[in-house]
Amino acid sequence: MIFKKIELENWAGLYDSRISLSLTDSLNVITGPNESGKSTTLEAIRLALSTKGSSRKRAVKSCQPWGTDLKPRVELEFSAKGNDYRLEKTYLKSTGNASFAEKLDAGGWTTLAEDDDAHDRFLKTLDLTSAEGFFRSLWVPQGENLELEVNEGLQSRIEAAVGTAISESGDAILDYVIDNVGDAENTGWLTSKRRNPSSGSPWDELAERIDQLESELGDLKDKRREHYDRLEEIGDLQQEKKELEGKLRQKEEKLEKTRKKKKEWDEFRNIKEQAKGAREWYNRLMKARQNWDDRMDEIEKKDEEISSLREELNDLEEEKNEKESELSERKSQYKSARESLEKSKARREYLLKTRAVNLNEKIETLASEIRELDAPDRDRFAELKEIHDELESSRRQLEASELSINIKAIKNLTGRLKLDGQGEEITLSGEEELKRGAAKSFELELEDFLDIKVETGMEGALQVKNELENYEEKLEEAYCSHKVENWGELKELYERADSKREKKKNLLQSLSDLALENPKSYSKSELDSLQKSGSEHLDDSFLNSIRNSPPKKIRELIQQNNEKIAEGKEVVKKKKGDLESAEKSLNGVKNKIKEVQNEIDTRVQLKKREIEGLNETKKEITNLDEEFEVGGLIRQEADSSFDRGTEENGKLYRKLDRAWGKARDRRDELEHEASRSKPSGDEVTETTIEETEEAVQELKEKTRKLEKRINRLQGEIGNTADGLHEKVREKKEDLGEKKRQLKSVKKEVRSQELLRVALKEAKERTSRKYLEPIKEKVVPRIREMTDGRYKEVRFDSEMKPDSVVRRRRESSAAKSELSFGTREQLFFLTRLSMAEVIGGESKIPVIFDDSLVNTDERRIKYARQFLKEAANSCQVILFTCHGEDYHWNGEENRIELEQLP
Amino acid sequence: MVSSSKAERLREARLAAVENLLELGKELDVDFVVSAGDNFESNQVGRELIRQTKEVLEGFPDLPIYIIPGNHDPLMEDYAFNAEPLNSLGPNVHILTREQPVEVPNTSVVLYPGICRKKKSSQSPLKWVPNREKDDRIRIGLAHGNWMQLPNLSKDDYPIGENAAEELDLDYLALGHWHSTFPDPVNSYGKRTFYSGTPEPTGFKENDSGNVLLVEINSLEDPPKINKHEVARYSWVKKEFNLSDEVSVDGLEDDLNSNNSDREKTLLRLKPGGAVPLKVMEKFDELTGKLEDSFFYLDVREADLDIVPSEQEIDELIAGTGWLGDAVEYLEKLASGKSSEPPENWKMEDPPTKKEAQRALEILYSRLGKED
Repeated sequence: MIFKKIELENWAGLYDSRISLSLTDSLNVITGPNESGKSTTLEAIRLALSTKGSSRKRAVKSCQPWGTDLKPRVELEFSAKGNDYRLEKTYLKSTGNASFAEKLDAGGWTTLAEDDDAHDRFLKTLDLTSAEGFFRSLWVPQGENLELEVNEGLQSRIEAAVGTAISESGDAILDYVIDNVGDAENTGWLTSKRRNPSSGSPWDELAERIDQLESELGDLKDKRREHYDRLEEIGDLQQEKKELEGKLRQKEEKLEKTRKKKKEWDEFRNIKEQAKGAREWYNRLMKARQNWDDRMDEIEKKDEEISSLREELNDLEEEKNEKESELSERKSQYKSARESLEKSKARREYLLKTRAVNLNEKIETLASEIRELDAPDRDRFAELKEIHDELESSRRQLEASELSINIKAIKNLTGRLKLDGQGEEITLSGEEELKRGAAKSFELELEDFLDIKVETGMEGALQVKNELENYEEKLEEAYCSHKVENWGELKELYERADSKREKKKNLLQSLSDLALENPKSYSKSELDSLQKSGSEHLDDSFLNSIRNSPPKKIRELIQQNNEKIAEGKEVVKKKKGDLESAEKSLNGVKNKIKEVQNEIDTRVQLKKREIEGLNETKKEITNLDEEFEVGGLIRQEADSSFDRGTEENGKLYRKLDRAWGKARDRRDELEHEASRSKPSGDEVTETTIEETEEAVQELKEKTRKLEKRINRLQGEIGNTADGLHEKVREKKEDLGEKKRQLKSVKKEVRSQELLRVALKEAKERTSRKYLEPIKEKVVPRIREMTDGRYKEVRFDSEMKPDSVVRRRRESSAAKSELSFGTREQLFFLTRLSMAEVIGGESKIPVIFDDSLVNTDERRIKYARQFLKEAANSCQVILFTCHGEDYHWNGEENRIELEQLP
Repeated sequence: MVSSSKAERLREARLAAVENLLELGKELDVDFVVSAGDNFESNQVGRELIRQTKEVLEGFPDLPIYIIPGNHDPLMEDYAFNAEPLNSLGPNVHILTREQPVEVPNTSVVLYPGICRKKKSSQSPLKWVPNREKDDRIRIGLAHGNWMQLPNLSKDDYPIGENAAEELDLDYLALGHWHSTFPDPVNSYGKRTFYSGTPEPTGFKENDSGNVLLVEINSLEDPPKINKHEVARYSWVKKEFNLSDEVSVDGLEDDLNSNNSDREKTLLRLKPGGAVPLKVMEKFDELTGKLEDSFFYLDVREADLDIVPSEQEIDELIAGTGWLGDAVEYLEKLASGKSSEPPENWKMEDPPTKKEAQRALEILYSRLGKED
């Protein structure tokens, strides 16, 4: 494609101005000062190629001259594929906003499409699949010259241009395979659902179906497994049931045998029982006979005993009567003795009280005599004696103090000390002291006579001496106060007082004796009342005998009475003893009588028992009942005698004897039969039968339960397994088929994926080779431009320059490390080279809008050179405000733009 | 895998084979027929099959038939012959379900059946067989299980001792469980133990199935005479061969054409080996396409067949196809085994196989043709 003409009006700063540029197919330089419309023109071209006329994008709106409603318009005339075309767009116009026309041979234009169709048609004509196509990469607006975006369109153009990268069949196959397996995500027809989800993909469908079938098959297999489990269980249960039935049969046979055996044992036991009964009957009869005899003996014996006891009882009764009469006689004796004693006591009491009254009188008399015996002399003596004693004491002290000893040894000494004749050995050590009390004399024999010091208590003696003198003075004073001359006189007084004291003492003793005799004082009135109360014993003769008697007489009478009382007591005591003895004797007899009576009663009871025993015996010997009744033995009184030897008794006894004989024979017969009929083996009882029956029932119950379980399981099986085999088989077959298909699909997918990846990688590898032609141009040019500073350019996988290699040390520098100038030169050269490579016979335009603003003059020169070279292969359109830098001696198409108003 | 309709026909053939063998028995006027188990694949078969079986068995009322349960149709609660309608077969059909000797009327034969009561057992089904005690009758064992004559056999498939017939003093031991006739009666004079195999083949793995054995015992002293008779409706044929070029494909076709067997009653498995170029593979595919239409069933196992494009084919693939040649070159290395390096961007599990590389080339080749 080559631009022939570019026209725009009402465009941004142009306002209602117009720019019209006529271009050649090689070098075109459009210069002008700033704001002359250069960049605007490039923008307009790019918009025209990328947006529809109806577009209301911001980029479009921003092209409207500000403050106006002018419609920006751009018209491009270009040639492509041997034809001339015109694309015209007027933006911000609702209709008639675009047209695409083709130039006719005759010179006119024929409109191929209008409005939005115009844009589509334009793209189609240029084989552009996207807006701007690859031009976007090649045409660099101002300020965007430091980077390069290699879009797909550019890449494919380059690949196409390189030629060796093309493989239409490869692309077709790749498309085919991608369609089947998808791109890297494996989302193609074989592997995933298509855009229409309902159609599904073989892989997915098969996978889903397989999952479903596996699930269904799993269910069927589970069903089959359950069925087999039930079958096995039934089999096991039936086996168990069979065993149980076997056991049951055995048990039932055993039960039958046991029952038969029991019958035999029952018969045996019956006979045995009968034999036992016979034996017992025999034993009873035997015992009864014996019993009979024994009882008979006993009864007789008892009779004798009872008789003898009765005699004894009679004797005792007589004795009792004698004792009773003796007792009553002694009672009367005792009573009279007591009466006599009472009389004596009463009299004595009266006498005592009489004497007491007399004594009271006497005591009063004595008490007054005693009072007279007070001895003031004694008091005097006591006082003086006290002083005398003190004097004597002081004297003794004096003596003592004169004779106290204090021995102190300077060194060790031993010796013998004698004090008042008493000697002791002493030993002193060192400075030790030995003190002794007063002594009348002392001797000290010292074996080792050394320095000793013997001291006497002279000081003390003096002190005492003084005291002694004081006491003597006191004594003198006391003598005077008590009117005595001397000690002798005082002593005499004392003796007198002493004798009075003795007398007083005797009187007091008498008084005390009397008081003892008379602990209580009695008054006469009391005596009178006593007389009244004891009138039968205190008769007038007695009273007269003692009236006015002196106490001595009364005492004598009391004495006599006391004797009488004592005597009387003796008698009473004796009589009481006699009485008690008689009572005792009587009680003894009575007890004896009681005992004998009890004994009789006991014997009678025993006899009764024996008779009752006979009754029992009778009951046992039932066929003798009548005779017994006739015999009337039972009615016999217990305490009457019994005569065995009566005729009736003899008869009965003989009957008993006969019965005993019969019983013996019967016993023997039955025992013999029992021993003969005893079954062999263990005894079989009802318990044994019951146990066996229980076991049988248990087995039957177990069997029933098993049957029930089996029936239940059989019910569960039912018809559930009908046709199950076929269902499982069908499912397996279907599943197998699907798995096989899936395997086949997977294999196909893998094969196709392998093909896809192989093709893609091959294509990419080849693509990488596409860079070569570009590199062949860029590397030498950059080397030249930088005077060999950079000897190599490295491109990334997106065909963009990535780094350079310095000649110096061959170190590499990333593009970001380069200066703005070198970087813009690198991208400038890359774009230029790409355009050259893409170009060739069918040129394409490459547009630069002041792309080398950071490039110095020297390198600009190289740029000019390279632009000229490139112009052979592409249409170069250069927008610059540095027009002086770009001149090729008129070889270029130069357009000057004026600054817009 | 066989389609379901064809599978149904194969199943029908099995019953037909039973009918054939009973018919043969009738023709040969045998004393009785024994079946050593696995009469059904399972006891849970459908009513229709059971009804058909009853029909077949009742079609020969004068022919005594003795049947035992096998491990696929064991004597369990759902044993097919214990339920209606098979529990009311004619008096000539004897379903043996107890371990006890069975006298065959009008003969001097006593059968000693082994009974399978479960799917698996490690016990010999003949362990109950009593010794011969002054018995000059012909003792024939009838059992189902693994004859432990071959190594590596499973021991829980009712193992039967290697010398069971001799040890139990059986005059003949008829076994079931294996599908092929074994041993071959032709080379087994003097032997007393045989598997008759299935009367109708059931798979390609069977070497010699579709037969019934006619056993003649004339005296206790002489070994039994065994003759094999084919009764199957379908034949299963396996062919292993090598392909190298178009001629070998033609040769195969000729070989198959020379066989006069009824293709419609033949199941054919082809297992080619060798390495062939793309064109030969194409030709082989065309041939198998035709065979598929003519044979009852065709199974082609190509695991051992490598597709190795010829140089010319490579040239064709590469020529004028730009970068495609690069891809072809890579695939060719993989297909031939010269390289096993997967592509750089291979994302699938497991690296691509030779077969897959060969298939890729096949697709490429076929697409190129279309493109052309």
